[in-house]
Amino acid sequence: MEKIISVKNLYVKLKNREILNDINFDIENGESVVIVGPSGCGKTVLIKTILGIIKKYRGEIYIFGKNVDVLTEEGMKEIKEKIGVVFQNSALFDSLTVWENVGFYYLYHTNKSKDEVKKFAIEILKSLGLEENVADMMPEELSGGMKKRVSIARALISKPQIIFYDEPTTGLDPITSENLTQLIKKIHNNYNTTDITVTHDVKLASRIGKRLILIDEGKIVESGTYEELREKSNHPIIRSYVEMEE
Amino acid sequence: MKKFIENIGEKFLSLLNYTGSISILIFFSIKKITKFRKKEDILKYILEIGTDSFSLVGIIALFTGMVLVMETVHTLKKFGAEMYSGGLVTISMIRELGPVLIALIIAGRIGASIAAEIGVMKITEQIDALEVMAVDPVTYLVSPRVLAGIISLPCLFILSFFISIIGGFFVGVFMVGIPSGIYLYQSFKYVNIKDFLIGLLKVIVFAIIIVNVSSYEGLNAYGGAEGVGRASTNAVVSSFFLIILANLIITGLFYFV
Repeated sequence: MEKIISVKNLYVKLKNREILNDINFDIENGESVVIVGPSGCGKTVLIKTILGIIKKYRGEIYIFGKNVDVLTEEGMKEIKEKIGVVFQNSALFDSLTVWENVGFYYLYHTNKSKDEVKKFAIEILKSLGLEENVADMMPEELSGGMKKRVSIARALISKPQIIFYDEPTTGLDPITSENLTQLIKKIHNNYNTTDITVTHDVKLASRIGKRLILIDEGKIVESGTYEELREKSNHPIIRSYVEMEE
Repeated sequence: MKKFIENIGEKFLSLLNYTGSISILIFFSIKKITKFRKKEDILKYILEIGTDSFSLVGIIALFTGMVLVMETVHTLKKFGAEMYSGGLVTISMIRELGPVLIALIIAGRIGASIAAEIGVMKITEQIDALEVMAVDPVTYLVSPRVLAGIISLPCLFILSFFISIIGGFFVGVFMVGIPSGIYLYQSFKYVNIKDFLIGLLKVIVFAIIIVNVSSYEGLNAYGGAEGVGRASTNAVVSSFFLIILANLIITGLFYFV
């Protein structure tokens, strides 16, 4: 299988504090990998570093076989076109309507007409179970679950090969959380995307991740399928969930 | 003693870092000034910075013109020179008071709002969302505002200049009793094109400072609502300081050296 993301000897220090310490892993095309760990362990910093949001790091990051550290602005843009991100707080633009948020990529980077982009945005919103009238709403009018769906729609519009989900179910009620978990699985299967999810929720990780990477205090502690970790891991985050499950 | 020197060194380094970061932002925001995608954004920001500030700037300019005449006319009367008060208003407003007053008003009104808006975007990961969609936050958020500021502030400057003359005229003619023709003649007698151009240069420099300092504070906001509040306060305080400093430098360069 083709390696789509490779992280080698990654160290990140923020405000003189070591956040990530010698992180190494590969993600293959079509995989669904969940980076799981307690809050504050460096999960979000890890994906923000991979995405180029955090620029100060030591080590090497390869996306689609290209070292992102030596890429030009144009080269990085080409890579970003193939990546979708669903942020923890949805990160919808407050000043834009839902359809403008979803179609932002096309409105900014292409010469497509507004009507064309709106039509396309509505199609995606509908495919994610949202009504057409949501398109003209402002983000502040939406519920938490709807915001997440709009955020997923925004990530999907450029037909990405890789989707990053940062704590996708945090702050949602159990039913909405369950619906969203199903939706993430459906998108993975229907769009053949490579998914990288970051969460502290072992239940979500066990449901959507074909492989789990357990991080604690900035280091990879264990990795494997949920079943493997269930058997061998002594980490409290896994053990407490297993006990709850039993 | 060692601790004291270390503290001074640390403060100096952080000041150097701050100045350097603002200078880099100014460089890139001006470099990318023509790369905006939507004309509507520029118009929206002109409305926000210029049109919406006009009433406040106008009232303050009117009152400043009136106060200048009230303050100076008694002293000038002692020398029988009260008719020169009109010239004093125009010279003060075009060289110093006009540009600085407008800049301070805009820094307080718009600088805080820019820092808060961008700060909220930063804290709610909207800036990160822009970056992952290959949108440069400086091109998208800062440069259009710089352009709008460069257009708006000179307009406000010119309008406030004439409004301050009206304010001075009202007090000078109707309250002090200076003949209107003499007042107006004196008002424009001492103004020359150099003063006007330097006034324009000042407001353009101040616009660049206000937008960039406020955007920088917003882009570096952290720590929730408190962080946004801190960014807004820092934007206003730093803008005020840099406006006064830039005014000193420009005045020194054109009228002193």
